[in-house]
Amino acid sequence: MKFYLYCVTDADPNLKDDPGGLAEQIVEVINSKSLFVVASKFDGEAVPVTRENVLQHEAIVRKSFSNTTVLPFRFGSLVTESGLESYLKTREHALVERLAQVSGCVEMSVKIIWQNSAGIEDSEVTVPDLEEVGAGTAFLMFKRGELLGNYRLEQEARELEAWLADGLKDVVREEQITIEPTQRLVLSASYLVERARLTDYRRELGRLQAERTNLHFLSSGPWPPYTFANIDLEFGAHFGVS
Amino acid sequence: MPLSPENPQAAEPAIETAYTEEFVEQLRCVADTLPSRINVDPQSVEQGLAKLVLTLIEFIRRLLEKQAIRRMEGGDLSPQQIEDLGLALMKLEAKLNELKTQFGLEDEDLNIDLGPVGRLI
Repeated sequence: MKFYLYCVTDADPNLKDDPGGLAEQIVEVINSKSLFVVASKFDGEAVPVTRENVLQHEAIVRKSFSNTTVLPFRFGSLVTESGLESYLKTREHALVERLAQVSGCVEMSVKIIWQNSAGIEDSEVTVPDLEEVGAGTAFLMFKRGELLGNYRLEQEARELEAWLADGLKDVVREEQITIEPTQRLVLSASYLVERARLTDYRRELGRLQAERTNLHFLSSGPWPPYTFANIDLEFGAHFGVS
Repeated sequence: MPLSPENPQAAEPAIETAYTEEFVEQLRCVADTLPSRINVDPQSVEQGLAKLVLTLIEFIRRLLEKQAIRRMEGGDLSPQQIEDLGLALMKLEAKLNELKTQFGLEDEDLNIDLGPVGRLI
């Protein structure tokens, strides 16, 4: 029998009256010094990735999050009792440090879709005249145009990233931004925002949206700080799993 | 740190956008590329392995393409060498497309999520 892990918290999340965890098991709070691990027993080697299981995981993490500061585990984290003890013993300092960093904060997410102004269609991609050059040369020239177009897209995406980061820098504690210049969903950002500054964050984001009406925004949150927990990697490194 | 009454509890997460359908479509595309793991299922293991191998070949092919363009722009290749290099890369791309079709893979499938580092391609 293994433990299925939901999150690490810095106080007892008080989940006594809550519905069960995955596989209808009772949710337990395991205390180790200053840390509390929310877990439930699980009989099996892998957790099926189903809508119900994912939502159940999220519900338990969110419930814990509403009562305390949490570091969520990645969905599907299973460990033996002795493995968990060893993990908490060796990682206690890092976990406490990370909990302090996300304490009092929520994660907010922003996604942006753009209508590529410097798209490949209107870049320097031209079909070379096959009567002037051979097929091989024409192929390389076409690819060169494509690369130039991609380069311009990347420049624009970087500019967008810098604009957003600059606009929100005063209201967020940490950020993680990913850009995909060749995709329509060009930017995905996660922000660690202090609960007390949520109103400021929303106001600033609203101002930025109004500044660039050609961009399509999706904003969501508040979420538990999944992006900033960063304990799944440590967990993986500890147990050699992912 | 338990949350105090002054420190409001997390509200239910909200999703705000004026472009729901557009985002659903785009996020579905992203979700389709996940998970980047080989599913050890007799029916799909072949496709999973093909996806992994073809992703690596595609990655190398793109590197070769960039290197060829760099050399073409550098002017250190004769017109015949440019033509030969272009033809070789064109055939390589055609072959890769053929293999993708054979294994039922799309362009978007050929990628590996490297976590915090981003995607391979």
